[in-house]
Amino acid sequence: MLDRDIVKLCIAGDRKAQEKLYNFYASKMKGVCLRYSRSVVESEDIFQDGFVKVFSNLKNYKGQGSFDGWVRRIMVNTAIDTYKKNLPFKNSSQFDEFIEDELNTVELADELQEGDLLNILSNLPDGYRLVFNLYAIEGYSHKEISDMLNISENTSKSQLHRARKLIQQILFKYNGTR
Amino acid sequence: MKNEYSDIDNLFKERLSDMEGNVEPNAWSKISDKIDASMSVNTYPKISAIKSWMYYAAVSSVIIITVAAVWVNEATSSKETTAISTGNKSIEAQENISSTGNTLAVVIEKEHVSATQNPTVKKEIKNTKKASVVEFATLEDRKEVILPDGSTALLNRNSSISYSDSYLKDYTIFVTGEVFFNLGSTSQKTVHIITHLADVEATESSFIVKTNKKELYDEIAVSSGKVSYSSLIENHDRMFILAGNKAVIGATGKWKQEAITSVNYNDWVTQKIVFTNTKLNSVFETLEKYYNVSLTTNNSEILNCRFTGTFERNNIDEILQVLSVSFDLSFNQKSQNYILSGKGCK
Repeated sequence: MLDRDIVKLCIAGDRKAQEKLYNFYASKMKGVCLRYSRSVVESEDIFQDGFVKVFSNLKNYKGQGSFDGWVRRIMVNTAIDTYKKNLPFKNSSQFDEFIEDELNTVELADELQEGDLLNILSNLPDGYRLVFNLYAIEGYSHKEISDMLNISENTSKSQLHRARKLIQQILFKYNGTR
Repeated sequence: MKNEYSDIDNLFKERLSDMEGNVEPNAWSKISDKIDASMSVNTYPKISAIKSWMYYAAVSSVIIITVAAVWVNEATSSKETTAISTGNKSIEAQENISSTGNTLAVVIEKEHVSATQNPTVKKEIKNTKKASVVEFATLEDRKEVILPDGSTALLNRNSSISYSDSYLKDYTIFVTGEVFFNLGSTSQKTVHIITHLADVEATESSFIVKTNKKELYDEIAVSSGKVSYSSLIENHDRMFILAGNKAVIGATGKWKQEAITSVNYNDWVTQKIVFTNTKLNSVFETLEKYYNVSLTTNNSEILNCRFTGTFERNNIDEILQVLSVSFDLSFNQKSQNYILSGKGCK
């Protein structure tokens, strides 16, 4: 665990303390960034920008909620900012209609590994990837996601549905090849 | 209803929510540089007590200088001619600003490239447990990658491919951007290429897979052999594309097939550009895409001229010289922008 004074030292600009805090969170947060990114190269930019934001906003951390959660939220927000502006469904009502249709069930292969899953995520369209991460992995509600991405709740639902359907198809292909 | 998907959600949540990533060794030094850059603005008021007298001294000297400057200004503006000449100067100054603005943009772009040191990046993500993924990505260059089975993949600009280290078991590759695959002389296995919209299967063949995330469509253009695909979004039977044809697959799962009409669809692969009685209008379009430059004219009649010829491994300057001689044109270059002038054709 990190001791409590380290945050104060970091705010004061203590470089050693900052590096310690960074080392504590670096690999965890890199994992978060990878999940939200199209590629390893883009995840690196989000990772670095996210940490700069963590340190420059540290004085605003009020001590409410876990510090882990606070750092993670900044990383997630940095990732959202990176992709939000290009979302193709922005300002379009085309995706607002939400239809949940039937799906074939797929057996999930046990031997699927982190790398495979990460690959599937990174190849999803940006909107699908953001919504799926936020809903399925982070556990936000559609209401919260609609606020974060500035989209309607129905768009969030339909993006999630499409993401799951796409993932299911890809998993199906994976099963077929093994 | 929701339970149908809870398996997928849970699978990703369990495996990925606490996944750790491989951190670049020099990431911290880059981050701390950026923190320094942002702090140098903020720390201004936080000058320590000992130095504060220097701060006040500095401020007061600034005031003195300002007063002096105003006084000098007033003195000079009393002359009659200065009104006009300062007018000219301010225009010059503006021009200077805009031209330095341009160079700044170029410098930043260059830094972006050099920051990654080698524009083609090969990365390996070692994950916590067993899997590892190999990723190749290009920015401003093109790059050939030899796959573990000996097949080749040629990456156009801003493209990437990745596959897991168990490639020789699953033969599955993920693609973004534009990639030319040449499969099969060394292996008879079926290779699966997965874009964000389609699953492509191929043995012994050569073809281009192009993904477009912004407009959400994929394109598969086959040069030799036979390639099959199915949309990942809609269920349908596998469709086959024969050599000389291409398929376009949209985000809604709709697709269409047609013959390849442009001879230059794979110019970046063959490094050969062919024009047959082609209007300069579309000659320029092809060249702009190939060389990542912008071509403009000061006379739209130039675009009416028709050109026949083949270029192989030439650079853009050589090509423009050929066009200039053919149509009595001249051209100026400003970084990536070329302006052509001349009489043109009716």
